[in-house]
Amino acid sequence: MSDPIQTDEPDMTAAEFALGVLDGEDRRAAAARAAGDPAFAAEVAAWEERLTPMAAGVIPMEPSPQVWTRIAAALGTTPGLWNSVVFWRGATLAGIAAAAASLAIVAGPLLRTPAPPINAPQTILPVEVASLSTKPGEPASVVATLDPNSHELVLTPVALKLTDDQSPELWVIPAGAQPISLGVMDRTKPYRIPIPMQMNGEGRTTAQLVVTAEQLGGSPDKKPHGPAIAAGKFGQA
Amino acid sequence: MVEDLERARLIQARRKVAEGDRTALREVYQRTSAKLFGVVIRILNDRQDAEDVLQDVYLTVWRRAESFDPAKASPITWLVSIARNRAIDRLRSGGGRLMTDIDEALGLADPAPDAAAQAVANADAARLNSCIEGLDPKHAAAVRTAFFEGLTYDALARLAGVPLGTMKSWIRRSLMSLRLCLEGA
Repeated sequence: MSDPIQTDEPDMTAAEFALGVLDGEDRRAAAARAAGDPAFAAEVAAWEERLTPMAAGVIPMEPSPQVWTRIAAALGTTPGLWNSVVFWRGATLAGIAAAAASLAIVAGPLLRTPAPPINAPQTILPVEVASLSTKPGEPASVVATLDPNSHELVLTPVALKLTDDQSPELWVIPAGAQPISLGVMDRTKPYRIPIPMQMNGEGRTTAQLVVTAEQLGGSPDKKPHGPAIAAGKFGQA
Repeated sequence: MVEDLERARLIQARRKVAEGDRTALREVYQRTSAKLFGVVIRILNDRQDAEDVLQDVYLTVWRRAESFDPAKASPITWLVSIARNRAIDRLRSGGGRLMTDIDEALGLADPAPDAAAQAVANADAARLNSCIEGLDPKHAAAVRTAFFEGLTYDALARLAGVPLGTMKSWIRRSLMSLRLCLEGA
């Protein structure tokens, strides 16, 4: 909309942007300008310093406890990319192994566990990754990440083939033994469980992880009935 | 001064956040989330949307902590700015709920009548408040409503029952006066 601008009035866009009075279109334009023009960005920052003390008058309010839980979950103890469904889509085992090798170098500082006891050594153990797929060599349907620092197994669903009236159930099968249910999986986003007992020690590389398509809510009798839709194992160190 | 100690603690915690220390982010969250949630929910008037935005705010803090320069800005300004910006972005793309309280029906009542009392605890807030008090009361109310509610020029003009051009003039002139006042002219 046209707006007669006096030639002797300075451009107040930076101030208007900082205050927040610009509408969607003008606001986007100002944000773009701040991103590309350091002088304008500095002007905006100066206006924010001037105006933000008004926030002293804001009445504080406690958010629900779930907000922090979700923030912590989004951060995880492994770098963001590990848990990104988009990142893993189409990844084969070779691709994952290569990614694991390069990420291990980058990921070191991000693998710190929160607040270790004073006397505990600050060792940062590398994570291990396994691809669970319909057949060896096929792209991953689920990526499983073993994080020994937090003692958790992170499952990231990538491409599970299920109908709406099926639930994906995860099983651990120790060598030569019966499958043990690790529960119904979250099919939409990464989630974590404690590392199953069966995967301690030798079990780490001999136990198989399998996903089956069970009835809604999972198998009623703790035994797999549906077809296996993904399987895999952790490799040798 | 208490506020200097708090500021020093926030700067230290923020440095640790920049180094990827999750417990430091938790500390920043514990110290600041109630204030930032107050800022965001005032703009959005919807608890669910406000909580989604608050989550996004702290993830932004986590990603951007490295680029914050304590010599150039105060940590609480930085945090409040991120919170306001995210909340207003959400409001502009259709989030939140419109104000429905009586003040809207009556026009622009000044939203912070006892800002003076709360500002005493913070020297910057006290100074800004006295500069705002020096404006025409209708203009002061417009500036405060803009800050607290995150409204557009258009919404402010409709609320105050004045033409758009008038509201733009009120706000621009008020901002210029505030700058002069804060610079001690």
